[in-house]
Amino acid sequence: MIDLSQVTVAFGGRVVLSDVTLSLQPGDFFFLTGPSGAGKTTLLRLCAGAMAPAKGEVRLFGRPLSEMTSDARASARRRMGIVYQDTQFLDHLPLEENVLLPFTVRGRLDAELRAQADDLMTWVGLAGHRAALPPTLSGGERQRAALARALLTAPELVLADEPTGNLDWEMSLKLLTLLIELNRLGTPVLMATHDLALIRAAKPLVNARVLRLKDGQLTQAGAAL
Amino acid sequence: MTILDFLRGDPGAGRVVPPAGSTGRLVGLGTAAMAFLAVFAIALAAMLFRLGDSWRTDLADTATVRITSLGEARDADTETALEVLRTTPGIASARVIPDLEQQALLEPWFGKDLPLDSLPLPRLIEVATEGGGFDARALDLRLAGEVPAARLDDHDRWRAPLARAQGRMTGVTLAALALIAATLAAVTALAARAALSANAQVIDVLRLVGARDTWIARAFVRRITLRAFLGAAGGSLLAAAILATFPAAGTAGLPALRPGGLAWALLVPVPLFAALVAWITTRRSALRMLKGRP
Ligand SMILES: Nc1ncnc2c1ncn2[C@@H]1O[C@H](COP(=O)(O)OP(=O)(O)OP(=O)(O)O)[C@@H](O)[C@H]1O
Ligand SMILES: [Mg+2]
Repeated sequence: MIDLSQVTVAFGGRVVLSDVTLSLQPGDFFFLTGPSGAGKTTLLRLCAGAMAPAKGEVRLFGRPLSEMTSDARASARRRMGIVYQDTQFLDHLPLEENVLLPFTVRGRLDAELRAQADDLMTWVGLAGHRAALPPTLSGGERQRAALARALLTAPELVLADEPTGNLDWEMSLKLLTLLIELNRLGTPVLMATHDLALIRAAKPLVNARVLRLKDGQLTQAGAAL
Repeated sequence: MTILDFLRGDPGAGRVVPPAGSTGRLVGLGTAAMAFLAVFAIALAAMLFRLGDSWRTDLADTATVRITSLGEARDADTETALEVLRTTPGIASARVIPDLEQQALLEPWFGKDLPLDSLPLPRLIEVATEGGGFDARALDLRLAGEVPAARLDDHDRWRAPLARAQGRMTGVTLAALALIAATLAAVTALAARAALSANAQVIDVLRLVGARDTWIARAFVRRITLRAFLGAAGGSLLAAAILATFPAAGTAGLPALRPGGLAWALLVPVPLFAALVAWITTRRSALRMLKGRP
């Protein structure tokens, strides 16, 4: 569904990704690990079509990114559930409207969706924060809202950048379980995380692969994990 | 995005752009000033048009013959000139303007007690044309031959420079209107660009959730266009209110600057035109800017 082939990204001459190849197919569950600054976020942004590589090819749902118009990129993004590490809310709108934003921009917001959003926000423990402005929430609360928003659109695949970075262990496990449930139904998941404990906890539940990004190279981590 | 969609609006799109700060106020103020100037320019253009119109109707069908000789010669010359005029094709009638009338004509300039007899004033013959008028050059030549003291004044001579001046003034007024529109376009384009740069994060978030560039642009364009419309409406209302206090009748041979009747209707499109200019320019610069941001 998403294919990176021999992709290279450099910022101001510094190579962040070098010759990276990755294919995300239905049913895949990938953990993406690596030290801070290794390029995890960069790789996820490539997958979301939010940036173009210097070299190599990115394909979203079979179409080369380089040949896509901005409308085509928007359409591709509508099929993805994307959770970024930071800055993913409109700070002047209440949390609930931020969660419903994907439907606002599609021009189809109805009572049923509002009810669904309500349920999902309650499930991730945000029932009391619907009217709160994002900047007034904690980092963990924002992450839960971001995941709720990504899942509300019933995405064909999930890209999540450290979705549990600020969460306590219990909530992390809860969200991980939700992603694993989705994955069992066939939805591929690519999740960047530093949390080795979480990866270990996932092992018995899902046939996940652990990808490690270091010095621009993407490798599959061994059995040591 | 059609105009209709635009007017119907999208409550969601309206809310995703943070409330406009000083940019919005500047757009309102700028368009208000432009509309204010535009209204006066239009009133001036309408006045010039009426001025030209009155000259054309007043002067089109008349000419004057001056008899410059004095004493007894004057009466004889007048008779001969009248005879010539009567036999000229294209002339309906010719009539000597009596002294009394001439005095009335001169009164505004020289006062009431003008001793006409002691002044070497020319005698005037008023000529009314018919059909396509007469051949001024031929008549001039004939008068020169038969009555050297007679001079034909067919009004074209001084009407032409006036008409030229009027044409130039109208041109200048139209150029002023074009400049006003261009300034408005520049102000709104700048405002669109400023709003988009100030809201880079908003754009990123909207794209993240799958918004199309046209949808994002619309959210910004709608905001700025409405501001421009309201500003222009305010500016033109103020200008119209000021014009309404002007006298309805003109002075010193000039028509009134205050528009009358239909000319008021010319002012109605000013805010609409401002909104249209704002819409076109903000949409263009917004889309171009979004295109430049991958
Ligand atoms: N837009 C950008 N302009 C310049 N440099 C950038 C840009 N985005 C990322 N970088 C650089 O690329 C490198 C990789 O960044 P990236 O955000 O992908 O790391 P990461 O693996 O997600 O790190 P973290 O675990 O801290 O989130 C960093 O050194 C960062 O400074
Ligand atoms: Mg990162």
